Amino acid sequence: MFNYDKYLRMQRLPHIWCSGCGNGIISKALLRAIEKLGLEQDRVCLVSGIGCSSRLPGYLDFNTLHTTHGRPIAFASGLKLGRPDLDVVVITGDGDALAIGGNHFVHAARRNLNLTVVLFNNGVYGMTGGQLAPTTPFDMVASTAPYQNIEQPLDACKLATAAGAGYVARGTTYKSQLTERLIIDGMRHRGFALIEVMTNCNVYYGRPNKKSTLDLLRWEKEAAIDHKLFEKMDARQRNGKFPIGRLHQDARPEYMELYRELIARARQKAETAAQKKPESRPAAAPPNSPRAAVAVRLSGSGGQGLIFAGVVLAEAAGVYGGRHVVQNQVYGPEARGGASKSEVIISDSEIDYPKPTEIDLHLALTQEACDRYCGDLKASGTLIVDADNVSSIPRGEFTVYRLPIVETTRKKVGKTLVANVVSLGAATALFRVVSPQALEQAVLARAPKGTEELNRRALAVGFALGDSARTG
Amino acid sequence: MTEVTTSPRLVQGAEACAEGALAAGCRFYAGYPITPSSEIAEAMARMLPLEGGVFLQVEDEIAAIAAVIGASLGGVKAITATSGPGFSLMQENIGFAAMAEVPSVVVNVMRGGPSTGQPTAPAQADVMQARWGTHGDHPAIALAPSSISEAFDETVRAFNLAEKYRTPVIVLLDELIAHMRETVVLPDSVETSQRVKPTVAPEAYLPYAAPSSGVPPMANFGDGYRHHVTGLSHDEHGFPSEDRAVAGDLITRLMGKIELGREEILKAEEFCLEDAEIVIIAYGCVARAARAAVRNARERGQRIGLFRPITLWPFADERIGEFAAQRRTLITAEMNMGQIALEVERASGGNCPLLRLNRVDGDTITPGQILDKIAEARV
Repeated sequence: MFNYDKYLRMQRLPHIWCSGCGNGIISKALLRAIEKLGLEQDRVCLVSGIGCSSRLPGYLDFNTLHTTHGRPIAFASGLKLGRPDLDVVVITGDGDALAIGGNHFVHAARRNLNLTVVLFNNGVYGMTGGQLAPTTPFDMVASTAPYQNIEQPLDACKLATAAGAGYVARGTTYKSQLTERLIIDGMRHRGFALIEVMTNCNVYYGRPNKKSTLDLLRWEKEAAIDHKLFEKMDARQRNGKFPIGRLHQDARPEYMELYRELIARARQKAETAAQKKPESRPAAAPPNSPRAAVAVRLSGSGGQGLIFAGVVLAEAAGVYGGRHVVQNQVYGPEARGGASKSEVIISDSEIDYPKPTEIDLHLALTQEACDRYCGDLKASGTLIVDADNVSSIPRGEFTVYRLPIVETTRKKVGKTLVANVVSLGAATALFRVVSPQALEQAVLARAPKGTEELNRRALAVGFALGDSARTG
Repeated sequence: MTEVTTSPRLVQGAEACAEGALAAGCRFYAGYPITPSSEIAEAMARMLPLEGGVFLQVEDEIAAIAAVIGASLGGVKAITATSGPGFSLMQENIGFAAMAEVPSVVVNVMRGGPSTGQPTAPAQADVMQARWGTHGDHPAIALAPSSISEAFDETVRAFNLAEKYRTPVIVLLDELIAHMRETVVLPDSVETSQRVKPTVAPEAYLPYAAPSSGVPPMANFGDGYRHHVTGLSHDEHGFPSEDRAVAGDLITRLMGKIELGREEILKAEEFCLEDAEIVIIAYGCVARAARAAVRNARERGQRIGLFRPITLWPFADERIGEFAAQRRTLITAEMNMGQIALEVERASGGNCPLLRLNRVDGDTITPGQILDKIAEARV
């Protein structure tokens, strides 16, 4: 005789289940499986949701977690990922796992994390009084289907298999030895394992459908067909039957195994990057005489790299120039195509309001950006536009420079991709918000590997373009 | 001990939040992408593996907070980040974390709502959701940073408070703070708090029996202290109980432990308050505009100050009560229809003039708007 006592929280008994309920049979199969696997009681975690079956962990002496309705697989995923050394078993019901928790069920199977899910399927919401479940057979009666169920039941095993579970099996309470073997098998499997166990709710499913516990057990006995035999049956023979046994198993890699490889890959990449990166330079000391705060706006169309340019300018002023900076950008759908802008405030004192209220320097590479974002340019401010792409200049007292930025980039650098860096060079030459040295440091620090020379050239072209405009 | 590196960096709010989490010892992130919080997920996806931590993109926000709670029960500090709609989805399990007393951190980058609202625009309309989003009476801690360095610091503090008080802590960022960049000097290491572990033998462990602090020692799963964790009303053993006295005592204790810690949890910045006749009350990104307005008004000789709650929940009742008793005029400026204004009204007990400045169109409140409100108050 197997002695279950060491696994029971005796003070919690008797349990809440009705006499004739199949939950006890599955619970005992689970305990025998845990014993036979030689699992340490302190390392076993049972995680359940809401429902009759989900009350099981409370009666068992392990680390037990009784969560919210439908969510035990999600809680268990966090626990298992955080503590891969623990044996995590999900105890759930058909409503919990397949209705409200269906999304977690599908994605945990797909992820193939090393969890074992024991799904008690009684085809009804038992705890709450016999409402319709996603597993209630067609034509049956439930408290919320008083005129019979017109929906088709969901097949948990097919769903798990389709979603990518590594191990899928079905047992019954009638065949408790098989169920025990399947749980052992599933827990040994490295990956997501589902063991669906067909059980009965003689009270809330049986009574309204005029079926006794015996009728329901007889159904389990007769309808459950060994999966190998089931395979050979034709559609007519399969009618009203379901396969039991190990229905699917594959050796797809388990999630944590892949994740450990990911960690190694990430570290390798970081190490390589660290070796190639030049040492960060200390910031220059802030200047002695404070200068007025300056607000710069860089604008154009989405994809011209103006947000990047804003970040580089902010870094040049803040990190390499030792000044206070705030950088902002237009964010979201507006930034894809259409007009885009990035703003930088540079100051010698702390910056309170992080958005510019007036702009000192506005660069516009497109007409749309110029039209849209020029409104708050100061009278004493400077507007730099791309000579070929901006023809109409808004009225104002500000100083205007028309520079062939894109065209010069095309001719002298070759790649218009770096028109943003050319723009920064030209703007800096015309309007000393940062030193050319600081700007170059910032550009090179941010430039993707292998593009340093390209960016350096772009910056030189930009400086020359700005200088010629100033002197010319 | 807090160590300071010397080189300043240009950092985005979302990144500072992620770096704060890592500095606090967080080694688990689960989340679902949502604008404008996804940059936090992206930063965690990049950085966590380097620390040997786990980043998991889950199927929805319900799974995100569930996985965070699961990881925390295993002893791993865990965080999730989201925005309005996702925060709504998380509410049931935030209640679970409060009820089962599982340390956890949730960042909500506030955007325009309700519903899908304005995904890319800043807002502050989830302040009440951070307090009362989940059903039932429950404790709440919510922190509202208003700068990049504070996004780092307050995320660290969120973890420390979560561990110390065994409760979920909400970090309320807004789109502006999450996306803007500032040069900051972030510390290399920070002071961290860890949950108090039981010292008794496993047989004697009562997982929900609290000392006078109201916070029970917490064993992690796998520590040898096998116990039960449930969202049902439970007794000191952690087991479900339908005993009315047990249920009442539990809720009273959960609320009480935060009340007991109030002094420590509350944090605010006071700027030019000493002689201020008018006090602006603002938090998050709006506080930046308020600060600019205060400086501007001071330059013109007006006695204006700023009270900036960094801890929004619990609310700074006492301080507001003092302002009211001193008959100062209070102006609450926020990007919602008046959520903290209601708290100010309550805490001031009708003892002083109150004005509100609200903006809900997705643009930030400007210093000019605050100055206009000050002018209105001075009439």
